[in-house]
Amino acid sequence: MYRVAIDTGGTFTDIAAVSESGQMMMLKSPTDRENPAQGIILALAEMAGCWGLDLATFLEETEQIIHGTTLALNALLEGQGSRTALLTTEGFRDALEIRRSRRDNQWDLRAPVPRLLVPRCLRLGVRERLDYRGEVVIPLDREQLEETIARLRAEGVESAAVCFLFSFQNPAHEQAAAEALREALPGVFITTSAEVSPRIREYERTSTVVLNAYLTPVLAAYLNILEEKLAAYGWHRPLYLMLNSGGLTDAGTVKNFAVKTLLSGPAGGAQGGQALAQELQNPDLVVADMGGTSFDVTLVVNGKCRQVPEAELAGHPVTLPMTDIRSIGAGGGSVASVDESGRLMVGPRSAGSVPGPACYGRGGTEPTVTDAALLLGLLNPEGFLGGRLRLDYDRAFAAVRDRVAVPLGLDTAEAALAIYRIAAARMADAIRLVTVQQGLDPRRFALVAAGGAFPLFAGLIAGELEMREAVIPLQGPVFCAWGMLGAARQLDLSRTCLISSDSFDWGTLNALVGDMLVQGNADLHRYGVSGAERETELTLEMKYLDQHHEISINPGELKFGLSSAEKINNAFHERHRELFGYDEPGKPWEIVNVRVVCREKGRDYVYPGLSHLTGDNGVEQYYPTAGSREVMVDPAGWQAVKVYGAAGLPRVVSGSGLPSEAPGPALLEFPYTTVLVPAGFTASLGAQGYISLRRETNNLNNRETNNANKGEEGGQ
Amino acid sequence: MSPETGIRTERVILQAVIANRLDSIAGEMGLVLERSARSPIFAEACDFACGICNARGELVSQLSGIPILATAGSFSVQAVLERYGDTIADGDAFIVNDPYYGGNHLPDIGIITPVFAGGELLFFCVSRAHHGDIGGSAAGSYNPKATEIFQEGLRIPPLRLVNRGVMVEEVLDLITYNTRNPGMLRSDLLAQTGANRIGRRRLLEMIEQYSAGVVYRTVGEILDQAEKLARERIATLPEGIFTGVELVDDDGFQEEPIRIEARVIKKGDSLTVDFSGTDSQVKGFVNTSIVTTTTAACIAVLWVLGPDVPRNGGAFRAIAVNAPKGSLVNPLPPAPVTLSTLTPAGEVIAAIFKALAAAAPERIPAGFGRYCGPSFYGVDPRTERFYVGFAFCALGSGGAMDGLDGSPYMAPISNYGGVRTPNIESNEVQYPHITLCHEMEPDTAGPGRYRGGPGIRYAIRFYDPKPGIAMFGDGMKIPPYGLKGGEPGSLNRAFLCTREEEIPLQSKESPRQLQPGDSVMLVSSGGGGWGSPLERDPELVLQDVQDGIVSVEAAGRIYGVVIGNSGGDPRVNHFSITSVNR
Repeated sequence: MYRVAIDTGGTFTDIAAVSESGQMMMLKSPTDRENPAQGIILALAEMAGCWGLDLATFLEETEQIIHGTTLALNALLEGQGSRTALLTTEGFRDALEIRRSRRDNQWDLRAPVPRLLVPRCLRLGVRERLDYRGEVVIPLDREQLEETIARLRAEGVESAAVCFLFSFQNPAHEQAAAEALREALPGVFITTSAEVSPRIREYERTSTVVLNAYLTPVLAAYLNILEEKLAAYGWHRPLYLMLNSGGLTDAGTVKNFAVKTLLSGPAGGAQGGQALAQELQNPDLVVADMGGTSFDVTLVVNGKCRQVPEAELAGHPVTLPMTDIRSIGAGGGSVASVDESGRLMVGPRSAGSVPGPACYGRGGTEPTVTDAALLLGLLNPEGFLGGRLRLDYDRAFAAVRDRVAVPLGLDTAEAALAIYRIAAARMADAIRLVTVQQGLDPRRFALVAAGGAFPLFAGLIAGELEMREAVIPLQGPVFCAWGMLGAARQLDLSRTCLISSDSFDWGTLNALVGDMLVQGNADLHRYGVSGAERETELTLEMKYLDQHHEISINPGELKFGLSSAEKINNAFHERHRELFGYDEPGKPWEIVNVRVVCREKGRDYVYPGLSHLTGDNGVEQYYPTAGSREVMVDPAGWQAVKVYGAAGLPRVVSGSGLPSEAPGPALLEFPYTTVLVPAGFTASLGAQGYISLRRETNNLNNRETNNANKGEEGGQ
Repeated sequence: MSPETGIRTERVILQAVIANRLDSIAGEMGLVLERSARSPIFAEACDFACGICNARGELVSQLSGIPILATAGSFSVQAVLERYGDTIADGDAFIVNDPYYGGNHLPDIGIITPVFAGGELLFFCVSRAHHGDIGGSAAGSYNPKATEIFQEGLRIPPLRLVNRGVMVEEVLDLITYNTRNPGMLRSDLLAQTGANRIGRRRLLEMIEQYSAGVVYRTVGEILDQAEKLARERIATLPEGIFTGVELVDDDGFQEEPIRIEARVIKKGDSLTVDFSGTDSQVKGFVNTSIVTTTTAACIAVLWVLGPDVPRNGGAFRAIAVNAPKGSLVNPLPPAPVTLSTLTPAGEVIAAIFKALAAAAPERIPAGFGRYCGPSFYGVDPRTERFYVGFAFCALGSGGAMDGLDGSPYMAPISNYGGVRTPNIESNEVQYPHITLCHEMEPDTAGPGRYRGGPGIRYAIRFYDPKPGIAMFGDGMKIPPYGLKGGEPGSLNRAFLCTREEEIPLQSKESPRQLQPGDSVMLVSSGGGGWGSPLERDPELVLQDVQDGIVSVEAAGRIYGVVIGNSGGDPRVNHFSITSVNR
């Protein structure tokens, strides 16, 4: 039996399939933006072909299909969601538009604000009110609700979100309103805030439930088509979707909660990081993925990715548990520009995939990081994206010369070098920030390069941050899809409780947790996961009573008793000190939210070894070969480096053609990626399907020598 | 590559790399502070700023924070340097809030931590934050009846708070004992020193990586570049002297408005903002210290020069400020100043904007609303603890720009985008009141081809046994200005609603006792409009009517767009354009 993971991104659809014996195939094919379900069927058929099967037979022999998709995220970014209404407590319909008045950039009075998903004329107040304890102050006015329903009917909305004040304390009014809406407006998707995220803070909760209303009909329609098409080929099992949290849930659930799939793709990468940590027996990894416009960083600490209780996506707050993925605007398409004062900036603005870098020859004239890499000899113009895109050296040269080299008085190659190095430093900063901000030392970590572009930078950045090694998995180009293969079915629950140390009552806490466990276990039971295969994780979000932001604590137990207050107290103070540099023992604290994860225990991951890793059967593919090329990666200038390639094996991405050890400087070329082995580094080919870059002499003396050299330059 | 151009390439790289790194350090300090602080105004509303200054006190990087605090840290560091000079030691930290000695107004306390490497003073980490109470005769320390700074709270000249790694508890006690919420202030000062400590640690890591010499030289280059960029942008403005005037309602004592005149003198690549024509200092708390005046002038000019000019000490060098001593914008002690970061900071900015509107109208927004609301205080019957809070939920709105309607809730301009207003739910958990409404108010947005943002109606009812309120703010007499034929936005309004009556409140009122069940209602200013309302796209007017931002009556009278409601069913939105009469 096979397990198959499909990761549909904006540009490519990646598929990874693994057989029972652990053999893995990977495939990258262009995403069909017009008809995504059909695109997936075609890609699956191609994958079936890789195994020598037709699609029906392949599906018959497949036990699980896991799907990650950017469909919801793209619908949000492009404003293609459904026509949505919002019902709020009367007198409070503008929270969504007021946005708590914060701007990311205070210095730009014209900076665009995130798209307003519900216009004011579709935001309607309903007479009702609860106080902060959830007690009724004004009962729900059903007559007025009927008028509101008539209005929604006349407006022809496709979905409606309901968010009343303090519904996290008492969802009765929201539920009653939703029932009336569902009854009166069949076919309109109705969603309530307490059911999506029963947490305090109405703006963030409103934003979350509105996203759900806006995106769910779109995602549900797509899933219906996909399921229908799969059924036509005999597929009769549930389709599993990748959640923001890295867990899996069935398509039926997602048809009510599209907001839980916004990070569906990248969450797969985080899962891949966890699997890799286990495989490499290296529990601390920084997983980095450089795309066209952004650079995403995920940490794996002690073998686990971190979860955050809320995040912001495209400027919209989402208060749902999510894999902690940090993004900065630094990708292959990041634009380099020089201002009037001679300051060179790289990103965050991006040329995207259209028009893209100048070297794509699609009308882009601004120099990008990809253009710089091409000029520095790092990319083979014939071999980009497996030979699918021929890079135009002359356009890249003209762009870097005109927009950067001339204004700075540098020659074009030097300008390209500066762009490349600044991009690398920005990515190093992002990694540094993500680690040190959590009190973690980057030197403890190994750097994992996911995606196709990052292996050109990974060695240098690992060196700059003095990380132990850089790891380039050969399945890197489909890393997220590969990661999904190891994901487990999971329920993420979160609730506001407001229990303070002044009146700590473990009974209340036990009742709440017990209630959440019942809910989580019921769903796992529905998936057919037996009691013995389940595991549970509990997180408390706490703060000092008079603080305004919570920090997450793992209490280390599921049931609380006499000694719990002290244990929680100690864990809280310790974490506070770690994060903020101080704590205040004796001050009263408060548990604001409780988070519970119920999941099936992780599978024993079968990591495909090199000999088993096969892939892309693209037809017009470029096959890289070995040779030598002039490159420049530091101010010392041009140097000839050896180029190794996985030559002659178009369908099998393997170590063939690579020596077991390659000293830097060198380039390793693969159909979808090029690895730079910087001078002073050695690439070694792990038996398990990854390349490791390490400094030859990774000791302190060497570092001090380097610093001393830099110091001398500074003096000149 | 020749060695010479190799060095130049290396410098280009280092400048970008170190600038980004400094920004990320300042950003991390801000995050630490925000996440760990207590005072709602500072933790929830983010009324603070964190930055890094060089050894001369010039601001090098400041990412987080509200605009009117942009240069405040720099002045605080310079005051510490002036007082302590060579005695500043590794492991020290200093505290200051005196508006006449390195501060801006008393509630904003600066903590300054020097950073030494190899025995050499290289940087200062500085955090400035607005604390809930700093003593004085009004809870919350906004005292509209103060006539001397002594009634506004405790003055702290630059003092050593941490001596070579050891907290000077006596100083901390002296300060906190003079405030209404000593525990919270203490915690928040610890949070500020904690944030600085983290900034210091990160700077030392960077210095270890690149060497002190390289960092020092590169930071100098970063500042020089910012100055160069600011000057090049100034050079593109037309030559001349441009004058703008903005009025403050009153100072809580005199009835007449107070005049701020900004003469912007542009010559070549230099720009001076001269306040010689501004009124003398006044009795009430609307005077502004030189720190806030200078900041307001710098940020106003930089908004016009472009978002990409770094807001650092280099760019500030390009802007000269002349504020005569004894004037409203540079008063002599002991004049009270607490309101200054709201009013007249916003009006100083407005005067400069109006002046520059003659030079570059397409870059200037119409008027923003002014802050006006109560501080409220009492003993919370649920916890029996003292509380004091501010109504941060009735902000006015932004003015329109060429091509852009104003945004709701973005006022005052001095805080633009830096303040985060609290959630109603958090407020009700925290304070003994219930909120009655929080919604945009029709016909408050200043009409124009591009209209201002609409104002907000906000009301709260107290249920503690003895609530008190004081009013502070402005903008009940002078509305946000319109520009290029746009009309002004609405005035701020406030009412005390008792069981019997609705009593209008003034913008500046002494503390008064309320009865349980009384409520306070505010309707904040809409922003000013830009361009003639008769030029507004009729479809946008229709949309505003559908959205309840503009009434049918105002659409016809002001915009010349006659709108009918064709549907028989009043529950359904059936508006359409009947005719356009222009």
